[in-house]
Amino acid sequence: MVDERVRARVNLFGVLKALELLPEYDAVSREITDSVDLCVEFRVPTVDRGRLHIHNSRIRLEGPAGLGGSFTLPKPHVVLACVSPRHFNAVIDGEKQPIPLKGIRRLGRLRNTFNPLTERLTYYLRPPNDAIAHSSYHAASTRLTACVALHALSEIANHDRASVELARRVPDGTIQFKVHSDIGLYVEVKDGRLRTVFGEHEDPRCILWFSDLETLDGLLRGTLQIYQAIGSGRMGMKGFVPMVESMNPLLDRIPLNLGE
Amino acid sequence: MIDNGHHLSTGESRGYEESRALFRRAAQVIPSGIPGHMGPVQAQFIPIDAYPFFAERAHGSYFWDVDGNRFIDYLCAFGPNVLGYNNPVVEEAAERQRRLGDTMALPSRQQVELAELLCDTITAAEWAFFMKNGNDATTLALMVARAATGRKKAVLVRNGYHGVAPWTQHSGRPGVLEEDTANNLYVDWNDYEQLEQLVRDHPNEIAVFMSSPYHHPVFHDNELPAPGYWEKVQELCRRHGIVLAVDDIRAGFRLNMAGSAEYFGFVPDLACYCKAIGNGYNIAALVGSEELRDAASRVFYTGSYWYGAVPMAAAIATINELSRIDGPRLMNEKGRRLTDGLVKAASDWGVTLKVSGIPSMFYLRITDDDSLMMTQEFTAEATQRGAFLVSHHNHFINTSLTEDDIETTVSIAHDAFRVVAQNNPERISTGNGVESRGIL
Ligand SMILES: Cc1ncc(COP(=O)(O)O)c(C=O)c1O
Repeated sequence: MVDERVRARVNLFGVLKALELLPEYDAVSREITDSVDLCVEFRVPTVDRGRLHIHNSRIRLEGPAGLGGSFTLPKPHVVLACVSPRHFNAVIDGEKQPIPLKGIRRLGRLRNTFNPLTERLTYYLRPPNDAIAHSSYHAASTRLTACVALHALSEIANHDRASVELARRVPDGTIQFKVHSDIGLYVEVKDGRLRTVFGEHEDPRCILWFSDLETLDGLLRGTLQIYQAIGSGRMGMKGFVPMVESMNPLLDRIPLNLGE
Repeated sequence: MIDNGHHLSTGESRGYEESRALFRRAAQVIPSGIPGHMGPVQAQFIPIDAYPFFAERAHGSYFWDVDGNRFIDYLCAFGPNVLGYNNPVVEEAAERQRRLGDTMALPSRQQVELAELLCDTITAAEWAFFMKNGNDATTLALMVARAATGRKKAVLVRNGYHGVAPWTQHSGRPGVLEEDTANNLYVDWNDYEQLEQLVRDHPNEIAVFMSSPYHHPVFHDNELPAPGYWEKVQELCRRHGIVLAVDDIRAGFRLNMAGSAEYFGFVPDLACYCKAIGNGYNIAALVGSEELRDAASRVFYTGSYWYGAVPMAAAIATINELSRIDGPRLMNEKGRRLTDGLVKAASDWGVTLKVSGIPSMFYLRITDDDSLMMTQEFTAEATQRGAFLVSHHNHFINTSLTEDDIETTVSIAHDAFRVVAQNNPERISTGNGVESRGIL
């Protein structure tokens, strides 16, 4: 059974996080966000707040930091509230509307920017499709899927009741995810809490590498035969492998919480 | 002994084409290709291309892979190879029994003689019960303890290994339920106070404390018992009616013929044996005290092949031979000479190699690198040069290992550490390191 609260966190800090990468890969998104300056805050009761700043073809998403819950992003022009995690999930699925609390005047602008952006994101996040199998699509699709999945991983590990216990068994350190020199995402683990970060860690404790994007894609969607992939050299591990082993059952929970 | 020339030309890069081809076939018909602890993933072959996947044959302290590469074997099949592969004394005993009969309608004379031999050899043994694998023995130990005490719970050491039956695993792993491990309690190795606290917190609930005689986890330095640890544990168990079961499946007969417990100065109520008792013939044993004989008779526990007479004949020959040549002393002396050589080879390149555990079952780790990546580089380089080493598990010495093998291995290690030092200049201690020594 899926916990709506966890799914809401995955949507807020996993799915929406991938918007940050979108302009880098997608010309349409660059165009949509060109000369836009719009900061929107989502409020999801019992989950959290998240701020999304779209500024001149750059997109940033942030949750509140520390006890005071402060943001580094500017004050929101628009605040959108939901009545429950389930409501927020329905908003992300495009089935319901949020409740605007602030910035009614800018709602039109938001709709014209945010809606087409999320459509672009959906286009890249759907499962592989031969009709759009050209390589630039595929690279973008995998990178965005990895971004969503690995951010989802941390949310699940830190908040899903069944997973918190599993996360406690993950040794401290950093796992770097790599596809050739691409991807650049790592997960930091400290005292059973996970944090996903963009980039290359300079001294990871463990490296999980993939020879190609399809293999990573398969792993994240739960369709890969992992032992065979490793045995045939399509993926591999290096370093303190108990980190990956103990993370495996958490990786298994990603597709479930992405609602796939 | 036939040797096809593919051996030990230091630095030669090894081809594993046949291993890979076989793996591709295996993947079609066997889940994961090679399931279990010999799978390249589970065995942590890192990087995977440094390791062969399938063996063709073995002799003494060597095995040959299916591509014809020869390796000096420091995994010894994860322990069963104790006298050398194809030891003539053991093979002759097995062959003699094979001609008479193996799995028959009734148990054989060998079963009685093997039990007598174990009782004569192992201090804690007043009786012996035979099965096939180590896990059969640990599970029977748990059942006997429960039958004897009428209690449910087992105290186990964190990161210990007693097999793969659901009760020995962690819930959350595929196929393992919370209920399977609901009666397990865990303590850290060498932490007597924790154990005492658990006993206090669970009065009259704990059937058994099960532990290996010293701590040999994967991925971590192996640890010997602290002075006085076992004495106190034994006293605590006796005082509270808890069965003390030692899992001597890995260390058994590689430390002391009378049992590893004898070496560390205590007497367990139950002791589990497997790896070293048959030199590769499949047999395991649970031995125990007079007090537990009745409980052991009442537990119903058996298997189709548990009465096979060939492995029992092989085990009798193995144990007699190990006693005759004082195998444990021999293996520890060889292990000591080898690991001294490895440490020296490492330090020649500014690399600090830590050896832990007992010399006959040494665990290797390059220090100052909690990722173990340097250790993995070393073991992969050594394996590619013909000394089969792994990065995460303790190794094993067998009595057939020669001085020549040790010398060759140290020389291989020297080359392997050179590569590690060259790849990791920022981690190498200066002074006696790469620069000052040079490659030649
Ligand atoms: C200490 C210990 N206990 C139990 C076992 C399980 O033995 P088996 O694999 O024969 O069931 C092993 C095997 O590696 C072991 O090392």
